[in-house]
Amino acid sequence: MYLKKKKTWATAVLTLLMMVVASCTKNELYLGAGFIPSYTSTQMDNSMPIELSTFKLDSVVTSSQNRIWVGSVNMPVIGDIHSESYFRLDEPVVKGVRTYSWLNKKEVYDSVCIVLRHTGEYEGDTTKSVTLDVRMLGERLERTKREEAAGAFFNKRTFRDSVSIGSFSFLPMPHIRPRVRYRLNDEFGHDLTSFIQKMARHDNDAKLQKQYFDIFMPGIKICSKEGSDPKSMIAFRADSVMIVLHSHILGLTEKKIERQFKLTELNYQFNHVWNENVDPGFDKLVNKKVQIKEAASGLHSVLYEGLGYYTRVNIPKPVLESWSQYYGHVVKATLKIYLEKGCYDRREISKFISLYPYAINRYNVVGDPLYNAAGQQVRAQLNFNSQSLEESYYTIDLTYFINMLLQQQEDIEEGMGIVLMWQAGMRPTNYNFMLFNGHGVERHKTELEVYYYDYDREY
Amino acid sequence: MTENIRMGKMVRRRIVRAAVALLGIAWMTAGATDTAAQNSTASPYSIYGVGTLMQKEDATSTGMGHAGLALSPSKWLNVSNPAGIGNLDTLSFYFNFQLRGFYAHNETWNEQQSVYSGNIDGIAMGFRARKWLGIAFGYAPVSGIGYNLKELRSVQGANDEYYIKASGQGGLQQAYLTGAFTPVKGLTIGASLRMLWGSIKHKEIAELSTTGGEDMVNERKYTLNNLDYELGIQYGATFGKNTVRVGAVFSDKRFLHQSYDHDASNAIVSNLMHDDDTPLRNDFYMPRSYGVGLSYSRGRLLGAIDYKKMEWSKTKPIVHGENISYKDCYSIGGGLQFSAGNPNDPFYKRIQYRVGYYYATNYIKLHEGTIRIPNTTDGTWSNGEFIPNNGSASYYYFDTGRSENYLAEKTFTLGFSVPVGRSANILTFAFERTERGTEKHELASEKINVIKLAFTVHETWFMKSKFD
Repeated sequence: MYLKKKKTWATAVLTLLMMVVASCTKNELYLGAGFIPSYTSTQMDNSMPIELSTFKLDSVVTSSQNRIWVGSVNMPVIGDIHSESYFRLDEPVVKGVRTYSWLNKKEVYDSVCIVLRHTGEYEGDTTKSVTLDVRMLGERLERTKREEAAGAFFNKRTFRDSVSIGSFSFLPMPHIRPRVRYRLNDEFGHDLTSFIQKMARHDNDAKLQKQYFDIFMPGIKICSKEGSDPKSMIAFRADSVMIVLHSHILGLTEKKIERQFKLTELNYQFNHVWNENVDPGFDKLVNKKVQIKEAASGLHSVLYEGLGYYTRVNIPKPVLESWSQYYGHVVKATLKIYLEKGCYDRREISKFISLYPYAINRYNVVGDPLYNAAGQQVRAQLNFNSQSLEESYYTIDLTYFINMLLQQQEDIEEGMGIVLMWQAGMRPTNYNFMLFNGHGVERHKTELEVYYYDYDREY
Repeated sequence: MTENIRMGKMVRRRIVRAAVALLGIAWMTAGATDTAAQNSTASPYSIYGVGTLMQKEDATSTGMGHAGLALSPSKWLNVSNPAGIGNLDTLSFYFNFQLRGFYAHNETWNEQQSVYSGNIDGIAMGFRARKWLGIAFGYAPVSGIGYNLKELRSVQGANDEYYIKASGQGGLQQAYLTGAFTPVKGLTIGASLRMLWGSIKHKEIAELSTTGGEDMVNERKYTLNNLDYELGIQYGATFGKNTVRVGAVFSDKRFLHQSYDHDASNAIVSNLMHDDDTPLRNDFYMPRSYGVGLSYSRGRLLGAIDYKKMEWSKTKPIVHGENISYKDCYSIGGGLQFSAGNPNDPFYKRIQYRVGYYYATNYIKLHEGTIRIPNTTDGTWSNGEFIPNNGSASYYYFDTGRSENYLAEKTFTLGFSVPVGRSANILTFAFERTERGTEKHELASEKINVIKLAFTVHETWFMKSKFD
């Protein structure tokens, strides 16, 4: 009897467990629109009154970019842009060995040249050659304390130059990146020869030789030749630049010697960039505290890193505040930025893929790069329409950024926005000029598309 | 005298243990409903109101078309009517626990869904405390929620569309204490004090990742509870070999305390929004309900029929946003039982067979609406989802005509009881096949097969031994 009872209970418990553990639903049914009682909804709102503006960063790092940009070019809005390049050369090397030796009476000076390699990059009218001047600096190319702290030179920096040591004309050709060698003045060549001969007497005192070398060759500047009217700007690789002193040794067979004065370091080369004849308004951009709103610049904004011109997109605080009061969540926020037709060369478009947004506050202090929810850095995706350039635009995923701002609720910072910058080390060049359509233009305007999900909330 | 005291203590101890076990199982059952996702229904219509209504009854009644208001058995606990425990054996303690498993097949005009699941269907204990007083207490479900639905939504202001997937769980339950007394021969009056409680959980996943956005999860849980009562009465008379019994139950409209938790989250932020224990805007009442029953027995044959009504039209929808209204509903069910033999016959002759039929209208009244059917030339159907060819499709719209009563359920029941050995314990099986809904008007038809298994343990705790 007792065993029977136990069996009955065991059967019951077993059955119970099987039924409680097992359950299965394979799929969802669709019972037509409105069957599910819910007030949740998702709206797309692209009416947010965002505003583009251009501001100018006080100082733009132009060193360590392996680019010697020289020449002049005229750009819409920002006027004539000029660039000259400064760098410092190291003591002479022969076949990779630093040496000042000179075989007196046997060794004869031949010539002195500057060697450069064109990067293939240029801006402006490249049907006309650019005449460039190579000048010796009148002061040592040294960093200030601020520059030392930053480990870089900035675009505003200049050094006093003394004399021209040569000039040459260069006509860039598309897709050709020649290594060019231009002869400098023989006067400079003779001075250089004399200097080496003098230094050869102090062959056992390298420190002294270095001190004298720094005085003799404090730095080099390449710029447009005075009086010329350059219509383009061209770029050379900084790591290719060197001055070469050619000589030969007299004897039964003539032996040629090349003394190379190479770039000291990449971060001891920089470009000084400035502009003139800018559109009204842009001349007020003297530092980053000033910004030109799109309404004051033809409903456009500018990105030109060489001059420190950056485009920022202001996210209006009142709109964010009103959203933060609602019961919902931004599930998607996409900034669509249209490019002004004709502001770039369609052949160059592949260069423009590494544009990245950064957070920026009302004082135009650039913050961290933007990340998405997966922790990846957000990149501006270029939707390039080869049939219609004016249809080309960037999309930037601001979902995570907007939600971060909304989480601050009452403490949302005034004047927050984003700034578009080239990723460090990935910028095509400092000299890519981009003109973006503002939010106020009629067609192809820059806008923020926000998908807002409303919760179904009880009251 | 000492023997009486010892006997009394032992019985009290057993009752307390049984009550504790009952509460424990009830708590586990409630917990299982909340956490283990074991739904007691798979009806798409359980998305509305408190879900699909369940019966508080023994599997014996289930086999007889859910009829039991006029039954007064001595071998099992009839909890359908508080007065139904008036005929319990004075020497016995009754324990019943009941399992319910179901397989449901739902169909729309172009999709199918099959669901199976199981749960505890009820636990009850009872005994005769005095010669004139029967006591029972137990646990039973009141309603169940369990659905898996989807719906295509549009992003307002854009051409994008996305699916929301909705699922629900929970339901109401009750724990009751019933007393029934017999003031005069043949007449039994009973009353139940019931604790109603439960939760209604709706979960919605908005698949906005298909638009390039973040998926959203929106979960709402409505918690309800209050004390309630139910009154019952039975009167029976015997005319020769014929016994006729009538019964009635009544339960008044009852306010339920309610609060809700609301959570919104997504894969990135787990607590985008959290409302905890917030009072609700609408008052919610369980409706007044009443029913009458009639039974007739002669020899080995027993017949019963019940009619019940619930006045849902006087209550408001509980869930904010429900696009339906409630209407009064009624049910009528009846069945026959045939006992093959006498108590002293062999096992196979003591099996009781049952058959019944049950018809019930639903308290949900679907409003008229608009059906949207995609133009099949604009895309293809895949796994029940319409995939537009170019991101968007054109649709046909037409009136649903859903105001008609499509949600009435028709149920055919079968059952049998098997004695366990020579004891008075009974194993009861019941099977019911229910059909509800329609595939027309973009609704779903349901075919539900339910098996119930009830164990009724019949212990003679109160018999005094004449010998030590």
